[in-house]
Amino acid sequence: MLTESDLLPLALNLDSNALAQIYDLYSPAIYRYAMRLLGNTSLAEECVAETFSRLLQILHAGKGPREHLQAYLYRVAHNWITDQYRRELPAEELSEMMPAGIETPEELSVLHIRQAHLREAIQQLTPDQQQVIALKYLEDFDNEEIARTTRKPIGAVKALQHRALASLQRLLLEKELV
Amino acid sequence: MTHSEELSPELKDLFDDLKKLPARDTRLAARGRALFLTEAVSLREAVSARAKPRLNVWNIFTFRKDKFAMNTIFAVILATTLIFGGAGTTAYASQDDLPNDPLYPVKIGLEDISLWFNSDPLTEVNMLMQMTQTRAQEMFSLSETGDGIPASTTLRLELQTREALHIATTLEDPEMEQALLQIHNALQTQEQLMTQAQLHATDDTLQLLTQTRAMLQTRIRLVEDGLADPEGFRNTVRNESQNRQGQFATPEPGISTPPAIVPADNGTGQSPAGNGEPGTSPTVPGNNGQSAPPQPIPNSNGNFENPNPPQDGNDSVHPKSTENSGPADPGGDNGGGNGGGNKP
Repeated sequence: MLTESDLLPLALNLDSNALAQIYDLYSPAIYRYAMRLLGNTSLAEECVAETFSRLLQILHAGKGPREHLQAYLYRVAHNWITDQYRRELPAEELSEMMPAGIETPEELSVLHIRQAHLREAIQQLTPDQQQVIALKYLEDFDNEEIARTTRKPIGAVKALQHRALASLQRLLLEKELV
Repeated sequence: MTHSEELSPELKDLFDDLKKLPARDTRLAARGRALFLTEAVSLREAVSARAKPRLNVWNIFTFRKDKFAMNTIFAVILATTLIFGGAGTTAYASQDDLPNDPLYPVKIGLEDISLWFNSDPLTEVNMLMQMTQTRAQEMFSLSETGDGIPASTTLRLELQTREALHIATTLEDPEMEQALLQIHNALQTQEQLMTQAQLHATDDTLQLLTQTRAMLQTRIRLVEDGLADPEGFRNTVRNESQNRQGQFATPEPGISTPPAIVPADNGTGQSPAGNGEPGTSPTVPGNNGQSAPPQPIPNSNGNFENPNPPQDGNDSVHPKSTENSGPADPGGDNGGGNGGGNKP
């Protein structure tokens, strides 16, 4: 398996094998990210499709990332998700499929409600706060990775994180979830 | 300081809950992957097209893989002209003909001959899918002019697609993926063409276009599944081939030409309405109550089958098809292609 630094030059030439490896490497994470923030499988799949389509377009134009491809993809995905937040989102899908660790329909119902509350709270943050919070606490990025993805200094990332958490605490307190 | 220390326990539990997701639909994932790679192929071919060298007569003999089909056809035309004089002109004139034109059989014959000149499986897949594209375009053109679409055109499209899929199964996984991406690209374009054709179709042709579109959609799903599961795809195509061998007692080395779906003289213009069952022969109004000739009718897999295979054996894509060469050997090449790959 080639590394990102091996794959990117090949991807610039629209090499199918390299692009396939890139897709296989990063699309699962982008899907999970979108699904966590949107709660809708169709939108999540659309987010993945749009993110990678934009990657193709920019590679086709001879531009695109020369390094840190993961950061680039998360950035594109988050911009798309933010656009969706500005519109009226379709209803969250209440899938009957049990995630790992959930064993009964009652547990699944409680999980869906709690997920919906947190998503609603995240959607009320600013776009920058949303991104920092999601990358930190959903994707488990460290501050360096977040800084690379958001193209902000680490100090700014920490400040955003602090303000976002304070806002989340307040919003969720109103729902009596914390 | 770890980030978990910055979160209250309740907030940490909420974030952990939000991480819990059901497994992704593998079919949707495979479809997304296929569409991504198809788009990449399209963009790359657009780049290649811009880099094409200036055309001159000698370029006809400079075979480029992606233009092999048309180069070969023109080479045959040129050779025919040099040897037989006017026959080459006839061959050239037939290239734009539609199924109801007198020179159409020449066009089809040239396609079959061009396949004989090829020995590379991937190129053959490309040629076959270009031919299916031509079939789809012919159907679109006929529906635009209100002319009947011969069922043989649809049958040929199905057979050529089937041949391309069969060849793909003989390839190693990387080459098979490449072939499937080509096929997927072509099938999607054809499906869109059928959708557009339906908008202007007469009652006579609407059913055939709808059936063709359904067949294309079935094939698209098959190809997408094949991109996710190559071995499953090979098994599916082999099983289809075996089922067809069991259905027809005699080989199908040629293509039959059922009569066209045309309006009756009294203007009722009713097309035969098949009930989806192989072997049925509905009566065509306006034919004095006589049964219509058997028409290819899609089976449960969306494949068009000739309900009455001809005994003189003329129902394949091109003369060298060996698709029905016998029971499939699970461990070996199933024939039909040009042996471009060995099974792992």
